[in-house]
Amino acid sequence: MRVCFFVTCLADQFFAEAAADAVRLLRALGVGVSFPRAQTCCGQPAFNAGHWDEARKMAAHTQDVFEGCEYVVLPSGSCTTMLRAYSPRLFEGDRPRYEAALDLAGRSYELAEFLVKVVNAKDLGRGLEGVRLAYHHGCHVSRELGVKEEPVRLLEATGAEVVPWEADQECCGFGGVFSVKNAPVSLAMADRKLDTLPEVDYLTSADGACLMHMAGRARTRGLDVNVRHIASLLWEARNG
Amino acid sequence: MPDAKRRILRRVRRALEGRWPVEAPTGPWRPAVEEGEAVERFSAHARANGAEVLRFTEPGAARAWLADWAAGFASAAVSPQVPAAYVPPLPAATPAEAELGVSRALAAVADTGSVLLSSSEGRLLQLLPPVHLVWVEETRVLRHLAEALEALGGEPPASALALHSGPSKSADIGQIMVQGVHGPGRLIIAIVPSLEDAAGEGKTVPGPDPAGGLDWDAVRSLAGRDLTTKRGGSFTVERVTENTAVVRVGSSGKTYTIRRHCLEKAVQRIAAGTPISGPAAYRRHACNEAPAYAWALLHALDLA
Amino acid sequence: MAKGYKAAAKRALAEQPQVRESVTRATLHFDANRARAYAEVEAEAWRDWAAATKRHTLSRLDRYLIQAEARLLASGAEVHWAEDADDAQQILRELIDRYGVQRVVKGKSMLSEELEVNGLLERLGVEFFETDLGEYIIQLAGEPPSHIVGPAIHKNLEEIRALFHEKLGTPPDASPGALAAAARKVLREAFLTADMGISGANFVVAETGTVVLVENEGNIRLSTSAPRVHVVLAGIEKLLPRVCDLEIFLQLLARAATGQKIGTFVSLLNGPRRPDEPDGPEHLHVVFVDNGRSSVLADREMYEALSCIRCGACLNTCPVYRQTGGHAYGQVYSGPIGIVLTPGLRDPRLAEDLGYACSLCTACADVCPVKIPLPKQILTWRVRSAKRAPAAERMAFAGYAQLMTRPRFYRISGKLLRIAASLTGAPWLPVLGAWAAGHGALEPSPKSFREIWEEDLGNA
Repeated sequence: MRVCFFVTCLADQFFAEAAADAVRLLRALGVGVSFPRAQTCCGQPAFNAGHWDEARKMAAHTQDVFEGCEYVVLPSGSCTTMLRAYSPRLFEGDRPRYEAALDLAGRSYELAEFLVKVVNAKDLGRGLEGVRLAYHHGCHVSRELGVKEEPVRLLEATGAEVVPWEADQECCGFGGVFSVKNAPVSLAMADRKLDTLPEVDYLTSADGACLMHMAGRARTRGLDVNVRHIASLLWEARNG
Repeated sequence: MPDAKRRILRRVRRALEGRWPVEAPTGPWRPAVEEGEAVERFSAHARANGAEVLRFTEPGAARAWLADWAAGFASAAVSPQVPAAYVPPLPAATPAEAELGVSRALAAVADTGSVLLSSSEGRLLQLLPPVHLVWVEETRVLRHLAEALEALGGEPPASALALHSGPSKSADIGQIMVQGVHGPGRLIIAIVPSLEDAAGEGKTVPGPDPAGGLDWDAVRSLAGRDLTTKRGGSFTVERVTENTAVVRVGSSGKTYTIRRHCLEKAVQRIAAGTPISGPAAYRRHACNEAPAYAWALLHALDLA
Repeated sequence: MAKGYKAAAKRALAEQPQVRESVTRATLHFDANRARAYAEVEAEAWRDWAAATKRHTLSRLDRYLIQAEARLLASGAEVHWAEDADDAQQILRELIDRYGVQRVVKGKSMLSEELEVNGLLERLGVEFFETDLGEYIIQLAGEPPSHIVGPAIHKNLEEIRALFHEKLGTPPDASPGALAAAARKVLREAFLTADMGISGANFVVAETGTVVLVENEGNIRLSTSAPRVHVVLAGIEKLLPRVCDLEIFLQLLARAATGQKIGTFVSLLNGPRRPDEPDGPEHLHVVFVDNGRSSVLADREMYEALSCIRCGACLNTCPVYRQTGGHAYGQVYSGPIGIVLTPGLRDPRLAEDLGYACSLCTACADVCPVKIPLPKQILTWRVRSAKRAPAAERMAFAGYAQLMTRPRFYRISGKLLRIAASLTGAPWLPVLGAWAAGHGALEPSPKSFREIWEEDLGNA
């Protein structure tokens, strides 16, 4: 089995080691990974800000880059949702591009989802025995794609305890441009997440941007919150 | 606005131009049916809504309960549609002044725990008194809201129908639930087999009799007597005071106090047509205190 | 003072932290009750059915309006039509004159807020009472409602105690029960002496001309029963085709709003008091109000919002609403439905600001009882207003798209980002500066993934 890895621009620049761990994990599970060099951004920032002409350019570029890949795997729930649920809407008036968008949507997976649904990975190694985790469900991947159980199931299979968290499915307040345009509200939303966060070793998620947002807020408030991307935790569990 | 209607409808039509009408879903669509008998489901749901529900299997028991319960109120505003037998023996008052409002429901709905009321009996008596008593016929307890709403179908029977599903409540002050904000703070729903039958014999229902139909001197005469309970346990009537009878159980030596009020209540029920054939019936219709011995006292007096 | 959600939200969070606390607590409570109540039934099927019924009604709205009017007239009601708030105010003014009205009791109605009925009554010198307890609280405080269902949820017990102490003379430490009793006393007197009751309408059934009102306190029943005149303000979108449709809508509304099986009091009104009835209003007037609704209906990407049954579920589940409450939106309707409806009812330009009172988390789509595609519609408003976005924003996205469709430039700018961060310790793009204010400086990974791939992973 071979996949194309779509690192996504944010992970490329800010979660590079976690993205590398995702590749290591896939390879350790026998999945061949290639990295199309021309890849950039899925276009979601522009899509969510309503600048659809710009979003279309990036989405079209992404279609071209990943043409011919059997699977496209992303270490980002939100970008996966862009490919799967949002990108087709950009091309409703452009039949070839619309079909290409649907085609790409059918081949794209969030990492944890891919491991569960396609690789059927059950045993990742029990390297996280005794580790307490809080899992933040990214809004788009959990609500638009319905990927809720897969990441939690994988984390629990590593021996980690995913601790109940009353706000685990609430929005962290990132929301792309929203976090800049309405910064005080965005930060208050992060506070709600942080104020309800149970005592854990790590706060984790499939969405790096959410983690960055919450970690940044925790830092300015002087809170001690350790943040790790799910790909790094899963690789650590596997690798010992 | 003489032309407003024409202009609004024109704008609506223009908005809809060139669009396919969306078909109505087939139906009326019925929510999944819960298991269980309608009256039981109704009672459970109405109670969960905060209403008090009483179910009487015999008209006499309902009337006896009413006589007893109504004694706690000074006045009532009563729907003209409530049969005389179910009118509390209280001075009539306007809805604004009455302590108790009494209605007769057109129907009740099990799914939601609601009673359906009609303005033909008056609206204010359903709303202004702090306590609202609603009589419902058992056969009018329906399973679904749609069955009750059928009453609206052809010609609506009154200018205002209303579903009441519990006491008036609000959590507008700091999310703390308060009852009786504007409407009644207590909703009592009394289910009876029929309100029609009672209408005929209604006039014969006695008002609250101060003596309760019980000759207390006869009870006094039991003092010192040895009696047996229905199940054969022996006990002694140790003494009888102005308001109580004290009995001592032969086997254990324990004493129980039986209140005059309870015995009177039992006799009233019996007079109203409810046979009290044993301690269980006594407990249900009178009091839950020493029912085995209390019933044996009544039995000894040939009252039960 | 700067206007709009952005400025008001910032102020509210800085100056009134208790609003966030009260609103969060109340909405979490409502939302949990809603979730439990949905779980008890086949909520998905109910919502699909209700959504389809509403879409059908809207698609034949003209026919249902005509049918409802005919049935209302037959029941003895008078029917009026108002294109906008001015029309509606004039109709009310004429009715107040006709009946010599001096005192009005009002049931909670969002449409009444839209039409600014209270302002009219004040100008006319008519004494009026909001009779819903929450509405009464904010009338005393001189504020508009902040939530469709719980107009005073932004106030905590302490604030209400202080308000009632000042206005009604209750003890400063009065219990909620005592506060409610004080309000009840004032309002009971008002019900019994008012000449006119004004209410909204939750539903109007076309088949029978039945006006349906839902509440928990009994104040609407009293407002529509005690005074001799009852005026119903109904948006033209409030119609349902058949009586039997109420079975689902009444139960769905209650479950979505508060998690109840049904509202405690449901009024089903068919005309004024009949000759053989002991009480009830002698006159019933129904005012059908457009006020921008026909424009929303004409907007094919927005018309579903007219299905809204005003349950407030989208407000309760909205994490943005929870931080600020409804006042920050500066409009009658707040929360997700407010973002979608307000620009359509009033002015599309309002979307420029309101469109960003949303993180696009899509939680509202999961709870709406009539499945209005709220997140999709909010995004559509963003798309429509993007063309009028500030020049800096438009240029930034144009530049971003240029960068992201040229892989080599993208790679170089990644390197520049790293160098800039290491040199200055601070981000150099304005957008990143705004971010850094709340989060601290951005910390790019020491090496980009691309570099790791090239040095290490790519050789595997």
